[in-house]
Amino acid sequence: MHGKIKHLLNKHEEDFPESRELNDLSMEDLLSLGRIRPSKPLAMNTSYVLDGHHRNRSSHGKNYDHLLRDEEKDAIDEEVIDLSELAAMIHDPEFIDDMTNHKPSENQQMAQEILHHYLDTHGAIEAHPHLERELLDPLFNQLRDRLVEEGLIELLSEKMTHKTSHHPKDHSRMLKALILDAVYDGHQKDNWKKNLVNIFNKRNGL
Amino acid sequence: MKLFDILKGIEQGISEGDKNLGVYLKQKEEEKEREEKKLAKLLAEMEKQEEKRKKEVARQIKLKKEEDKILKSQENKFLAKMPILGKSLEDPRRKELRDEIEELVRLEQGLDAPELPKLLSDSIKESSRSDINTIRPKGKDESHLTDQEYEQGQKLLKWFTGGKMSDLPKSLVSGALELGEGASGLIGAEGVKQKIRSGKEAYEDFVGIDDRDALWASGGRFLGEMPVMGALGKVLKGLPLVKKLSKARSVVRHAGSGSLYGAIQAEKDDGDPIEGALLGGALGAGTSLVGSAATKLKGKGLEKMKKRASITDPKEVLRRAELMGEKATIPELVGDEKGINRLKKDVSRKNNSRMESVEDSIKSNAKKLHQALPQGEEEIQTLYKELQNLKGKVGEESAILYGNVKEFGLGKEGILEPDVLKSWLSSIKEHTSNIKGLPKLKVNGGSVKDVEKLMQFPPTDPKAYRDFYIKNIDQLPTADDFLKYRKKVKDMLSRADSTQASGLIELNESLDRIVKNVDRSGSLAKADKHYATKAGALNQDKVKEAINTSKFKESEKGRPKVSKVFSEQSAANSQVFEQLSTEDKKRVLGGFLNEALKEEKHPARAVADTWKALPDYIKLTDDLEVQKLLQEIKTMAGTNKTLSSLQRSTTSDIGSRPVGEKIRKNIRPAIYAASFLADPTLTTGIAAIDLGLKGVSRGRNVMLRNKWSQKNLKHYLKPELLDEIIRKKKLKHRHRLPMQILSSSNREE
Repeated sequence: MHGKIKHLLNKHEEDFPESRELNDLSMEDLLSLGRIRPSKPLAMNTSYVLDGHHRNRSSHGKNYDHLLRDEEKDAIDEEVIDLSELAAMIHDPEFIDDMTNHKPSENQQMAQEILHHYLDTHGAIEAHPHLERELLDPLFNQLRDRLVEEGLIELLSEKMTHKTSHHPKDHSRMLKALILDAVYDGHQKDNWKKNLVNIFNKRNGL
Repeated sequence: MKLFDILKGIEQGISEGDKNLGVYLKQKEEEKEREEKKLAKLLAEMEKQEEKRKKEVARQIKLKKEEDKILKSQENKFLAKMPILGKSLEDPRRKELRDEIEELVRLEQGLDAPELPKLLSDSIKESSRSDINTIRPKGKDESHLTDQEYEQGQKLLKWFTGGKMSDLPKSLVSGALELGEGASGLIGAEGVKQKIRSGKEAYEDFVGIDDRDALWASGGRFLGEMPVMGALGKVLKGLPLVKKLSKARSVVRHAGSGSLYGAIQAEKDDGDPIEGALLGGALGAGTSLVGSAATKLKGKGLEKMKKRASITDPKEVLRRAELMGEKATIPELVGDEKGINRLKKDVSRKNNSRMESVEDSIKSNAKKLHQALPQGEEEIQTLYKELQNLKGKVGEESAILYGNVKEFGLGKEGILEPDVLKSWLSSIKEHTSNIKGLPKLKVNGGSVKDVEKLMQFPPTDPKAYRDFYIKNIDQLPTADDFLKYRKKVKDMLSRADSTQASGLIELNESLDRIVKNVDRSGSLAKADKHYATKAGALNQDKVKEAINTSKFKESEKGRPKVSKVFSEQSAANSQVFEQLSTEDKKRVLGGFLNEALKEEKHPARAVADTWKALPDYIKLTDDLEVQKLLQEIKTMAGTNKTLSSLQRSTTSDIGSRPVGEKIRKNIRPAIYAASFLADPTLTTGIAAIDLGLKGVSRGRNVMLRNKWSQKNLKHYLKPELLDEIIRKKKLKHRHRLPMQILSSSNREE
């Protein structure tokens, strides 16, 4: 990932050579964060909201997970990816149909098959109530179960409360709230009704 | 005439009968004679045999006597027929070897061996008298030995002597070759191998090895012992001293070491056969160790084993712990692959001592921790007294700071300036139309209207104003009253509803603005900060109650519990705690521990309960000394699991905790496995204590549970939908899918 970012910065520098120093500084900043894990932005955002704001940036930027072991960090990353995938599928059905990722998960594959099945049999508009019942509800139930039972996000949140007056539960609730925020946003925008038509048209070459 | 005939006939008959009788008698006599002859012969033969037997017996007795004489005179049957070796041992440089052989002799014969040179000299003399050709075949000369035979002989001698003799003259080598073969010449390398193979079988029969796959029965070990056992066996077998033979046989059979000496030593010292087997395995088969060589090589073997001890899989360690028992705490032995797979579980071993030692160490560590934390009624009383002192001190500081505000801002001597008072009144009138329950300007003073009336036309002269203010001091609010009013408004704002919040916010802001206009030095901000971070927390109701009640009732029944004061997780409590000195902080921890000890007698479990009861702000304190103690408490908190596993099988409950069946089973291997995993260098109860931190963490539990119990999307879908999709896929791809959840309808198809 660092390589790709470097490549982008170099490309930008070709057009704007005066930004060279800034690009170097930003690369240093990026490298100083260490290995970027998918759970890190989530953790940083949570700590910003609860404790940090813009004032305590340094204490919540780098070593939020310094008390975790590597295998625990890997497991947390997996869990965050799983949860975010579920949240994304519930947020927008176009994510389910998007297979540009060369390693789609079993969940996504299964969801895509169900989506195509109902679109093929009922059409774009009439498929919506069926999909809501047969696909959206199970996805939501799965996300709910993963969030309710004791997961690895609890583990992360305990380590994040090193210098804070907040209880670890506050952090874990905030972490889960950030995941649910995506779900709520999609529900508000009514993505499932709107975007099924696009998927149907794409599938039928319209 | 008939009568005559009859009579004649009768006469004839009688005569014939007489004749027959005579014949009969004759025959009988003859038979008798024959039998007598036979008997005589038999008797003669028996006599002969008896004589023979007697002669043989006499001969054997004679032989025995002679052999006894020889043995007694020689006192070294082992070296009697090995003149070459005996001669070579005269060399003073080979004293160790001589000692070792002396030891062997002593063990074999049960006698105190005389000085070897004399023995050897006697043996040499004896051997010169005896038929040497029984040992060395005729015609076999040293010069006929090939290089191969020489090397083989050297190897055998090295094994026999423990590797001490490296360069030997050929005469000695030939003697060794003879030893190796059991007093018959060697034909060559091939011949040696054949002899060894056949000899091995004979050896095993001789020793009576039942388990041919046993570690110590490997060929290499045989090779090492064959030179010894070959000659010894030959000598022993020939002699009627069968008791010595049976002893040697039993020793070799029961000991599992890689050498005869080890076997003897094992029996002598009542050593552990498994240890012997491991030792043999570590040292490698093929060495015939005698005496000090064994101890030297033992160290090398253990070094080799140490390199192999690199196990991280807890299940594997548990398996080995089951096999090895207490020895599983020795990492050198756990890592030995050869030994582990051959060990059998010894059911008779009991490891209660081990469990007890673990529990004792946990208890002792817990008691040390108890001593580090100040406990007892006196300490708690001092804690409350210190709290009171602290409150007083902080209160004084706050008064000084707010005094500065009054002095340099609001008004000297507490007298509010007319502008301040007027702006205060106007802000109340502006913003508080919807607010109910506002505090009074002064506790027992006038209302807003009354004050407004008074301040309609105040005197302009400062002196006159001062006198006017003092005169109406009962109604007019002072600077103190203003600050109190401001504080009350802030408290109301923190609890306000949405309807009243906006008005209160505006009022609060206007009051702050009033002070800022007047207070140029920023002293109010300092005072407010001091109050927010220090003094305010100490003014909590709980703290006040604690101080007040403990003042008058200095006893356990009277004073409030430490947990009542400090257990709630709040910012105020954390501020109070941080302001305490290190000693007082320890007293707080001691107070929690005191309460836990009332309910739980076990010292370690009491510490574990203390950890559970402590709030997070105490656990996360910045005080280094207190953090060290907290870390120790935390590690002790993990011992609860170990202690539960240490519970022996009982029928009655232990305290309030019932004894489960699962706890009774597989206690010991878990402890040994845990101690090995926690830290392979530790073999005490500390390893068991560290189990809570290193061995099995909460994260690992969660990860394992997630791995095995998490459900995929297909578990949430209806089975009919799933079947339909699978059917569609089948038609599309025309091959069986790897993972299917088949419903009954699908199965029928």
